[in-house]
Amino acid sequence: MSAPLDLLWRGVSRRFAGAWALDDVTLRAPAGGTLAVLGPSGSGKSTLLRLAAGLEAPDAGSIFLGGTDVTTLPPERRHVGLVFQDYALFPHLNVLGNVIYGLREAGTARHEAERTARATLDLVGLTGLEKRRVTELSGGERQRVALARSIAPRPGVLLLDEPLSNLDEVLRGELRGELAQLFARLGVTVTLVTHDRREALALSNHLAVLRGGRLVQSGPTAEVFREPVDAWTARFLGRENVLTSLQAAALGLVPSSPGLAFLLPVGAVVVAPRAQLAGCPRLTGRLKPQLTFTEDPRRQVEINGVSLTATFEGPAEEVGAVQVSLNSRLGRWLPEGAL
Amino acid sequence: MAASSLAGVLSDPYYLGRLGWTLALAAGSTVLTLVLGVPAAVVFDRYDFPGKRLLNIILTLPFVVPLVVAATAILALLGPGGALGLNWPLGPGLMLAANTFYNYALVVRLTGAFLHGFGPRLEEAARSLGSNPWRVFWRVTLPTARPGVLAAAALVFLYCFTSLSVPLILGGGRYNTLEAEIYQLIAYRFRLTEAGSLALMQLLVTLAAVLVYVSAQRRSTSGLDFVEWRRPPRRGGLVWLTVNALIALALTATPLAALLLRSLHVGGQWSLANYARAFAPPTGLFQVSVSAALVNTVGFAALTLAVAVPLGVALALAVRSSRSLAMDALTLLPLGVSSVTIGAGLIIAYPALRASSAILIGAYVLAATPFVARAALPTLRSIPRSQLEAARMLGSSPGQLFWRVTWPLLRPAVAAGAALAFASVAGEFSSTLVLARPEWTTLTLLVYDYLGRPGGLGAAEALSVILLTFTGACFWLLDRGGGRFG
Repeated sequence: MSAPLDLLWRGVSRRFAGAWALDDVTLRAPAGGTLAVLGPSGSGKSTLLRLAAGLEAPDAGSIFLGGTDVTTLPPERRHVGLVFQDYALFPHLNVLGNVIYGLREAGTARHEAERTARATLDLVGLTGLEKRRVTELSGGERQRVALARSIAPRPGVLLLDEPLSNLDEVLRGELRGELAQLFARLGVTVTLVTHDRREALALSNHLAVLRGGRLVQSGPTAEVFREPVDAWTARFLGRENVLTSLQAAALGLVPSSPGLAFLLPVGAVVVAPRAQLAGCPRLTGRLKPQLTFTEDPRRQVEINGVSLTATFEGPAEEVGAVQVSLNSRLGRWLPEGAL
Repeated sequence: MAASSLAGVLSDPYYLGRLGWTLALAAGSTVLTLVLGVPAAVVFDRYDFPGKRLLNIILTLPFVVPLVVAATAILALLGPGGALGLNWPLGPGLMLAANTFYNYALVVRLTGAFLHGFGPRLEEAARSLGSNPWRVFWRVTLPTARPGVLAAAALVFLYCFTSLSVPLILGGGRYNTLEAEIYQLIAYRFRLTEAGSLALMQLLVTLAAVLVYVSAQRRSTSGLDFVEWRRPPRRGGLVWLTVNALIALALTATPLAALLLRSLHVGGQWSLANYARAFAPPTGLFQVSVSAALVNTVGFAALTLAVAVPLGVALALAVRSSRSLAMDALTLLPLGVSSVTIGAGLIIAYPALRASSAILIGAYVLAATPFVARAALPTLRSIPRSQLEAARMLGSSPGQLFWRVTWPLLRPAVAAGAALAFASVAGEFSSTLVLARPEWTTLTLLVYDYLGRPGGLGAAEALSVILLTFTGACFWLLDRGGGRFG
C-alpha cells in the first residue's frame, strides 16, 4: 500500500467559456485526512476534483501531490483514484473485470491482480458478484464497484465526486456510515465534493466551502461548522437562527456596524415556561405547534414576528404564549457574505 | 431441387472462384473502411473544433450519392485518364476505392452515434486508472464501441457483397462478383436455375450479415446516458483530428470534386460540351432524353415513397410490438437480397405484370421500406410505454393515440428515413437494369448507358453531376424537417 499523500491546490484558476469556474483557489487536503469540498452546483467543486485528477489543466496555479508538482502530469501517471458521480463503469467488463482494470494497468500479474480485486470487492461488501454484468447491478452496487475499482490499485489520494447523490435516502444513510469506516481503514487521503452538507459533515474532518469559484472558508470541519465566516456559509451549512440585521433589531440586538447578520446557537434560545436562564432577558413569544413527530427537544418559536429555533423540553402538545430566555452573549455578528 | 443445383454450383470451380472473390472484396473493403472510419468516428465525436458542422455535412454526401455515381466518380479520380493522373486499370483497386468511398461515412456515422451515447467519462475513468491514451483506445473505447462497429461492419459488408454497379462499371468483366454473375446469367444467358442457385448462395451469406447487424444494433440501444462534455483538442488530439479530417475530406469530397471537374473539361479545356452531349436529343439508339429520364426518376421515386412510407411505419410498429429478433431481421432482409434476384423473382412470380411499371415500383418499395422502418424503430423504441398508457387513460382510442402521440414523435425520424429511401430509389440501379423497359429509363441507367458507349465517359460524368445534384436537393428538402442528418 502506498502511503497517503498530501494534496495541494496552489492558486489554481480555471476558465470555461469566459467565466471563472475557479478563481485563485489555494486549498490543502492533509495526508490521511478526509477533506469535503462543499458548494452549490456551479461553484466549481467538480472542476477542483478534475484538476487534481489531471483531467483538466489549470489556466493558472499548480497542483502538488506529496510535495511534488504534478500540474503537467497526465492522469494515468498521477496514481490518483477517482470515483465518478455517474460511476462510469465499463459496460464491456463484468464486476471483477472493472476492479482488475487499474491493477493490470499498474503491471500487476493477472492472478495477483485477481486476488487483490476479490479482496477489495470483499472490503466493499460485494463478495459473490464478481461475474455479474455491471448493467445488472443496482445503484448502490454500482457505487460500490466504482469505489472498489478506484481503491484497488491503492492510490495515495482518493477523489469522490458527489459520492452519494445518485442513491435513495435509506441507502445514502447506510453508505455514509460505511464510507466513513472505509476511509479510516484505508488510511488514504480522501477528497470528496458534494452539495449535501449532511454528507460533508458526516464524512470529513476538514471542510472547504466553495461559492462561485472562490474559496469562502476552509478548516477543521467542527471549527467551520461552529464558526462560519459569514451568514451565507452559516445558512449553507444548515445552521439555525441566522438572523438578518432587521430581524436582530426586532429582538433588541443592535450591531456595531450596519448590515451585519446575527448567528444565535439553538442552545442560546430556551423556552422557559417556569424557569429562567440566569441574567438573560425574558421575552414573550408564541410557541408554534410541533410539525412532525420527533424526540428532538427543538421547537419553532415566534418573537416579535421573528421565527427562531429554540430548545424546549416541555410537553409536545403545548402551544401558544410562552416566556423565552435569550442568551445573546453566545451569538456572533457576521457579515452577510453576499457576492 | 434448389439444393441439388446449389451443390452443382458449389462444385463448379468457376463459381467457387466468384464466391471467393466476392467474399474477399467485401471483407477487404469492410476492413479498410473500418480501419479508416473508426478512429475518425472517435475523434470527431470526442472533440469540438471549428468546421465540425461542415465536416458533418460533407460526411452525409455519400448517403446521397448513388452507387453508380460513386463508381463514376472514382473512375474520374483514379481511373484511366483520371484527375489524379494515376491511371489505375479497371479491377480490384478501383473497386476497393469505390467501396471505401461509398461506405466510409456510414462507418463514421454509425460508430459515432454509438460512441456518443457513452460520452468521454469511461475514457476519463480509464485515464485515472493508469491507461495512456493509446491503451484507453484499445481497452475501453474500442470494446465499448464494439456493437456500433459490428453493426457498421455488417452493413458495409452487405453493401459491398451485393452491389452490382461497382463490378459492372469498375470490374472490367474480369472481376465479376456474384451479383454481376447473377445479372449476366439472367439478362444475357437466360439460365435461371444457375442464377437462382447463386442467389441462394448469396442469400446465405447476406443473411448472416443481417443477423450480425440486427443483434449488434439491439445491444446498442442499451447505451447509458451521460452528460455531454466536448472540448477542443490539445497536442496529440489535434494531430489525430487533423489527420482524420484530411482523410475524411480526401475520401468523401475529392472523388466528387474530380467528377465535377472532369465533367466540365473536354480535351484539357474548360467546356460545357459534356453537358451539351448529355442533353442532346436522343439518337436512334437512346430511347429517352435527359428530361424524360429525370421525369421517370422523380415519378418512380414519388410513387415508391407513397407506398413505402406507410408500409415502413406499419412495419416498424409491428416489429416494436413483436420484440422478436426474426421480425427485426425481416425489416433488413430486402437489403440483403440481391436486387437483381428481386427483379428476376418478381418477373417469374408475376408474369402478367412483366410489362407493367407496377413491378418496378414493387421492387423499389421492397428496397425503400427498410430505410423508413429502420429510421422509425429507434424513436419508436424510445417512447416510454407510460406515455402511451397515459394517453389511453386520458381517453384516446388506439387510432387517436397513433395520430396524437406516436406520429408527432415519430415524424422527424420518418422524414429522415424517407429522405434516405428517396435517395436510394433515385439512385437505384440493379432492379432497374433488370426490370425497366427502354421508355422507363432512369438517370442511373442513362449514366450506365453512356459509360458503355465509346467516348461516352464525359457525358456520363455530366449526367452523374445532374443526378447527384437532384438526389442531393431532394434529400435536403425531405430531411429538413427532421434534421437528423443535417
